[in-house]
Amino acid sequence: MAGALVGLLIIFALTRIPTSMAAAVAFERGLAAEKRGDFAGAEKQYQKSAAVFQKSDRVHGRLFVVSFKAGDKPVAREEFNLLKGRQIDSGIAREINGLLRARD
Amino acid sequence: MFFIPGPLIALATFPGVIVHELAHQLFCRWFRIPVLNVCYFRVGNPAGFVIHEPVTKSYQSVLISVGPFLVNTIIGALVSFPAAIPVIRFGAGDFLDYFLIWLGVSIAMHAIPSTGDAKSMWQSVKDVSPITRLLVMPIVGVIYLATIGRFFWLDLFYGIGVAVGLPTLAVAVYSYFV
Repeated sequence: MAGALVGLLIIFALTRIPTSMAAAVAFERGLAAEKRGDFAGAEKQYQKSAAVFQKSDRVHGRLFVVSFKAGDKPVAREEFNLLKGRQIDSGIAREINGLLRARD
Repeated sequence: MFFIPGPLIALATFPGVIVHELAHQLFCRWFRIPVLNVCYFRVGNPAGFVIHEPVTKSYQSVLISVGPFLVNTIIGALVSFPAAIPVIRFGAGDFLDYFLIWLGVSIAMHAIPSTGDAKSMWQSVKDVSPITRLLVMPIVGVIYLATIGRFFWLDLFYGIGVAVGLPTLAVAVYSYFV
């Protein structure tokens, strides 16, 4: 009984590993693309990550930054509305405010 | 350093005790050693146990004793892997993620064999060649050192390292190569 329960838990966890891993790797690739200045490429990667980690302010924050820099207004607006009013990391908040101020 | 009674820790991390005893039982089955009695969990000391017939070969005793180290470490890492990434890396965990992390830490922190395991391992090599005893001695020594380390929460740190540290490291390594 205990063995079966442990087995089920492992199977359940194993089925979730590829999704989590792929999303985490996509985020890392996004960071690398962003560093290279490839904002459109970074946006694609962050979108993959955001599809899995929907509640992550970190992912949505970066997605806003790169979509803004890539000039993808619909995505930037969507991400901004999603982040608006949320208590997010001060670093990403400063970066977002900096971008918006520079635009004005 | 603050002290929490062992039975309370065992109660809070009972899945680890169950997997620990299952690992002993698994290795007994593997070597076809009849198991006489198993207690997967109880509130007491020890929190669980496996009583089996005497082993015929000393390596079997060593593997039955250290089995939980391998099994609990692997299962602890696997169970918490998909949950640790969203929680630690992305701050986006839900109830299920936190539950899986608790489960993974609980399982991994009971990976370290007990002094009872070390004693039975040492007993099994008492009458064999000095070389075998020499090989087993460091394992027994490490188990006793780890037992001392438990006073300083070594088991908890090990559990967190396996359940949370390994997935984070895996993502970093995988991202580097892919």
